[in-house]
Amino acid sequence: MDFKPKTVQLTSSDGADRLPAEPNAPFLLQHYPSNWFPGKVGDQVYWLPGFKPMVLAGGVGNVKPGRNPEDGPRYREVVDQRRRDGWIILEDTGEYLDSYDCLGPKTKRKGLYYCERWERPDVVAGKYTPTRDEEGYHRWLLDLVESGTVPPPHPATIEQIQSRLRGPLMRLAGLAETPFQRAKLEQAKSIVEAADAAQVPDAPAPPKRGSTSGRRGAPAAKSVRVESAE
Amino acid sequence: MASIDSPITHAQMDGGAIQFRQAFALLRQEIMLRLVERASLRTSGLFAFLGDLARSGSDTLRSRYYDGIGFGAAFSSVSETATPSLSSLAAEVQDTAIGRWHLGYSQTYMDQVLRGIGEIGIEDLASYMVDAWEGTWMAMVASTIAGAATDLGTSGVNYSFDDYLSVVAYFRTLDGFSPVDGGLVQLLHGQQFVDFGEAIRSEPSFQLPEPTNELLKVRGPGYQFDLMGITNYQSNRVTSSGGNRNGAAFTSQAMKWVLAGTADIRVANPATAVVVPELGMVIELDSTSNGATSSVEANAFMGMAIHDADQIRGVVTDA
Repeated sequence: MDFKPKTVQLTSSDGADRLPAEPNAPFLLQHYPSNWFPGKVGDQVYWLPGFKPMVLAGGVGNVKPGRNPEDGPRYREVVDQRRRDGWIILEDTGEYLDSYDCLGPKTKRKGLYYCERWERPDVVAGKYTPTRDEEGYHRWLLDLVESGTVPPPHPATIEQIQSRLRGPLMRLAGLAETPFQRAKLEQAKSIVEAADAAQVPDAPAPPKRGSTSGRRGAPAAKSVRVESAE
Repeated sequence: MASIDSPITHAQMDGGAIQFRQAFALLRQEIMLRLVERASLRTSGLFAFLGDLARSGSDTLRSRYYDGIGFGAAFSSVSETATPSLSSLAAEVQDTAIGRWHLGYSQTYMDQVLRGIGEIGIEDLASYMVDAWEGTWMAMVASTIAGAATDLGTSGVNYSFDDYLSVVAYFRTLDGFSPVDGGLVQLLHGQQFVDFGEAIRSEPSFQLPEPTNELLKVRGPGYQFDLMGITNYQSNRVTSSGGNRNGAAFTSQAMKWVLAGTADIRVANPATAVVVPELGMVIELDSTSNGATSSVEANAFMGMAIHDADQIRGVVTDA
């Protein structure tokens, strides 16, 4: 009688195949229209939308826990409310969210570590030391504006940001006596130059809507004549 | 069996095949913990606690806010016989919902029987649940402040003294802001404070040793210093995304939190359960004879949300 062996595949339980990072909650990326920054894509600097995480954990920012063990958190109401408040929320997490099996270095909790796609995990001397694909991230942000997913910035927003960035330049210009201060001034200059040179990305034209009733944007001014009663 | 040569040395007894000598801090019969952040701002008065949702019928507390009354209203100048129209109010609601939070450990019967003095047990793990709750509450704060609508600071650029001045400028010009109502706080990651320290080294105003020392002094997490009316706190629980740290500056009215008191929960073993209704937490000890395992599990019900987007600004700078 021939006995056939079973293939034995042993896996270590010491977490060697897991990222040494604490488990965290998944998130959606959200953008508010006032958040823009000058970022480089190739040789050109563009105004790029700043995104922040909307953490999907019950109890945080009105996200509610899922009902059943297999359910994810309930966030539809929060997303709808934030969109009404002007936020742009990217719900297609397949575009930007990755997860890795992880084992917390301090807590030893096993779970998933969620991060943006441009965060490249690496382990150096047993510590989680990610690198970032800044160019790839900026290119993706540019695509979001050029595809119309994120509307381009309002000119007043850009002016406001540029004005805030110029503040250090004017202040440091009078203080640059030591080499360290001069280096700070040069850094401030390069930030302002990048902001001044930054282009607003080309966005598709918004769809035409019926009459210009003044429902969108600032209302039409009415001419006023004031006369004295005397 | 291993051979022990004369003279009997510690090296023979401790190393090689014998390893008789294993000193596990027998002189200190307590559990020693590794270094971990222990700061919490919960009792600082900076986060308004809205209340207990127990017996409310809802997992969400709805708060109503009004504008256009009191100092928010103004009389109009009208003629002697005019019949002016009446004023409107502005009203809005903000919700704060709870979530369920859980932490648990288990230990086999065999380990409980065999463990030595100073080794950790299920009762010890239960006693640390309140600290874990505080740490989770701070993590909830860090996740909530990352949702601030508008940021100061510049993505990809280190935190600078000018970013600090931007925070001062914003709140100075914010209508209705008053430090008397609870103060202005900036909560940043340790790296952001390191960058701030680098930045002020070149500031002429901070070249005197005493003030510079106060600003650059290494402190643990928690309170750092007061400068220009801003109370600064550090927590390395401040989150990161997009290559940046998501700190924030906010007033005590910007974020509010709720919990659900656990006094009404019917637990399986009331004699071994610890109910902490003021934290919305219940801790239960349990065991499974078939698996020969004991467990301690804590469930807590709490939530936090931003209520006024104008009273919080993200301080987002390079990680």
